[in-house]
Amino acid sequence: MTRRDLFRQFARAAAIAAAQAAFPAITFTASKIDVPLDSLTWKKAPCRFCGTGCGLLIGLKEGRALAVKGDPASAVNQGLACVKGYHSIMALYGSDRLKYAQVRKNGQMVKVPMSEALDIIANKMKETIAKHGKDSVAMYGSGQWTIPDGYVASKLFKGAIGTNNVEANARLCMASAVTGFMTSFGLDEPMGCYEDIDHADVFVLWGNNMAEMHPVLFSRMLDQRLKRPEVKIIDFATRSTRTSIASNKSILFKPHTDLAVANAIAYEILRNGWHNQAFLDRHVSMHTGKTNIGFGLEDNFKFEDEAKTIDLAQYRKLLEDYTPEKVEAMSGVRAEDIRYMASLYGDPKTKVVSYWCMGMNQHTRGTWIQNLVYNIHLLTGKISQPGNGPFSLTGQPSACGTVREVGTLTHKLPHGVVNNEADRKMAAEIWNVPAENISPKPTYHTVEMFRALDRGDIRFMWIQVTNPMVTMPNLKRYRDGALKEDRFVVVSEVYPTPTTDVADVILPSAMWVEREGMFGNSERRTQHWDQLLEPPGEAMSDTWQLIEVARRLGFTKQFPWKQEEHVEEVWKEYRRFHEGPKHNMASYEDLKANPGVIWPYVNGKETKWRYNAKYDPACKQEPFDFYGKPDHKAWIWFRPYEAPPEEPDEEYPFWLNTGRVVEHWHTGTMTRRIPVLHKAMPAAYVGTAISGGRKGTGTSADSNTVKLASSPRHHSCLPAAIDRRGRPQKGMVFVPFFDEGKLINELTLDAFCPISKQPDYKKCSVRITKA
Amino acid sequence: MAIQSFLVYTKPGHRADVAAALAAMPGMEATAADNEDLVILVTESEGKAATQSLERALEALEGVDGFALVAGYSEEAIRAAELESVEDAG
Repeated sequence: MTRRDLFRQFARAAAIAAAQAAFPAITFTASKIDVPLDSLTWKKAPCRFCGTGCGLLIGLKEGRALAVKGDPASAVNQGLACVKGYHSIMALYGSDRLKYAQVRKNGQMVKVPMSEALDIIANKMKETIAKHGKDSVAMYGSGQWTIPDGYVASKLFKGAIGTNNVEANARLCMASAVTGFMTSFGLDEPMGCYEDIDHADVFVLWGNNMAEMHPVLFSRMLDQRLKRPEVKIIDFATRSTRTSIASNKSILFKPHTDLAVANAIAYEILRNGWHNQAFLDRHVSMHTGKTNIGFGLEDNFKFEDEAKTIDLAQYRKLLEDYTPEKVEAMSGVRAEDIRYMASLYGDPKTKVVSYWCMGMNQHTRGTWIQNLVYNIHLLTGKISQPGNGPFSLTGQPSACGTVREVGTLTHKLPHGVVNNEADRKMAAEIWNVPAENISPKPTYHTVEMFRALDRGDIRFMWIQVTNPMVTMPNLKRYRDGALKEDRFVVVSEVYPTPTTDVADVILPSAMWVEREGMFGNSERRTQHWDQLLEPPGEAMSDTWQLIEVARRLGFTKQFPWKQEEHVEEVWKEYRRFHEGPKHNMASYEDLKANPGVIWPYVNGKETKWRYNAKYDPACKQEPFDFYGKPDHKAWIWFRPYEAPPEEPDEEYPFWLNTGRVVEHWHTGTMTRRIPVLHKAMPAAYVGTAISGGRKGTGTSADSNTVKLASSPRHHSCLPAAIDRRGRPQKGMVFVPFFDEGKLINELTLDAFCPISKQPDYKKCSVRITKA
Repeated sequence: MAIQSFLVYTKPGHRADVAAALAAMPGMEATAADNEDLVILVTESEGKAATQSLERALEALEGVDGFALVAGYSEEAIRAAELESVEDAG
């Protein structure tokens, strides 16, 4: 079969799959369908891309993936798929796929056998540890790691080697969601599930372009609105997008002032007596934390919050600074729109779900804004019930499953945290390592880890399934750091990227369905897939790469599994960490048999709404039990508005907001190899409105190419897209980050939320001039 | 040469006629569904003008209710892939 024939088959199979999505019982018997559907073997797998976790069926023939369709048995997408999902298999077949290991010799990358590359990595790790200590080697992984990848990485570094230098790119993506959940509820991850969409009357989207970023979930919302005319979608955002167009109401706010608006909604709820006093009395306690907490711009920044308990009267008093009129002046949101939003949350007959993703997470007060949205749901008691609840969506397919649940962050363990002795003992026992191997001290969160690489505190870094030389904020510092003379960087990848450009060793990875694995999506659903295809050349799964190196380091006892059984064995071992009704995971057999299973999975039943005694077997009291906190209460936090670290001024008069586009998955490593997606969105652009900037200082982006500059960091020249797909508000520009030819993160600021340590990619100030 | 696929929605009872009319045009492969008013169309066309002409032909065909592009592969992408195919063979 030529590649040309293959493209015809892709085109035909895509059309058949689309027809099947529209008409599930449709059949074709004509002879011209030379890939009849019944000649394909269909196997389940979760989609490779976003955190929605759509179930797909992959059509296989003669060792190739030829077709994709949404899995009708998946409760997530119910047979739907988005444009990336339908084309996902084409990402396997890019012409520059990495198939063999490469090692830098005399400045040049040279092809070597995989076994030699693995030997070099193990030897370099031994040498670095001997010379600079355990904390000089680091692992940087991903929310696109499979669960076994993250688990063996954590076990190797934290358990066997004894360093907490394990981080993942999910720190850049959802760390504020974690700290939001932890501070308000004491346990991570949403209490509800996607089934909330079928029950809610109102969806409030907080800085969340779901139409492009979570299109299948957005389709489900639109479907509900068609079926139930009372359903409303409110888009609360800093720019107008496709989501705004499809919403019932679009409300724009000035960047960073969501903090003030959330407080104003709470103020209005209390002022009108719309709060649920019985719920507050029984299930909620109120607190304040530290203020003026900084932005982490300096190396070795430290912060620890301190909670003080307050009562409802004190909380009311603190909210008096946030009347709708005062907040209108700060946020640009009309007082009547604030009152309208408050009335939706406040109406006891209306079920409300709040959704958010990067808009609230990538925020220098990311933890605070999560707390403030939880406050609204807690004040009204609209939580942990079908159709009522706050819901943090994730960006990556296993940010929840691998990073949050396995705990591939410096302070975490698969169960609990490193500074808890009981949690360390549990990990040591399961991992078969001495308890003293696991250090009680977290080391570096992601930004600080790359700063440590730059400073020389870290000398060896292994990067898997992520592309930090495109995604790190204030990028130039970290790229220069990685290239310093005595740094050693290993990159496991499927295609060449700016990160493989800085590598000393490149390992070719088996991609997605070329290996067995599991992901965990936004709604606590774990999804298993079998290996469906052979990886090309010597490509190897990231899990097995780690196991091979672990054995070379002398840890065969901890990593004893046979290759054909290792994913099952890893799952069985990992599952022990989560035994019990609060987090029990499905068995390997149940995962294989289903498109996905929500945890806690207790006595063969998914827990769809946590903390509600009607649905959650872990509850010890009725009707709700917020058992994550010692007082069994959810915490309302008063958090004030505090200005961001950088705001537009006379010299740099525009806000720069960065983000994604529907066609591309993150840095485009895979989707830019899919011709139809690449053609649809070949390059990054500056999205801007027809007029912009502070009065008298801005330059309208009215030329074909403009230069963006953010002093003292960098500049970039990009084509202008005026009033096109997304329309930023006046004074803002938007640039997608998928384009490695236009590294917009050279302009972004490495300021982060002091609690979550997640950087803010949505707000820094820039100047625009004609290029 | 671009390859595209479409879902062509037909008026009730017209799918066989539409499929036959489309299949008679050069570079087209049309297959009617057995049990829905729908035709799967896979096309190969030269350049943007040919694509526009194809879309006009679809609009003009009696019995066509509407159509939707599902997948499209550009000339450049196919050429690049074919070159690679030759390299692989070598």
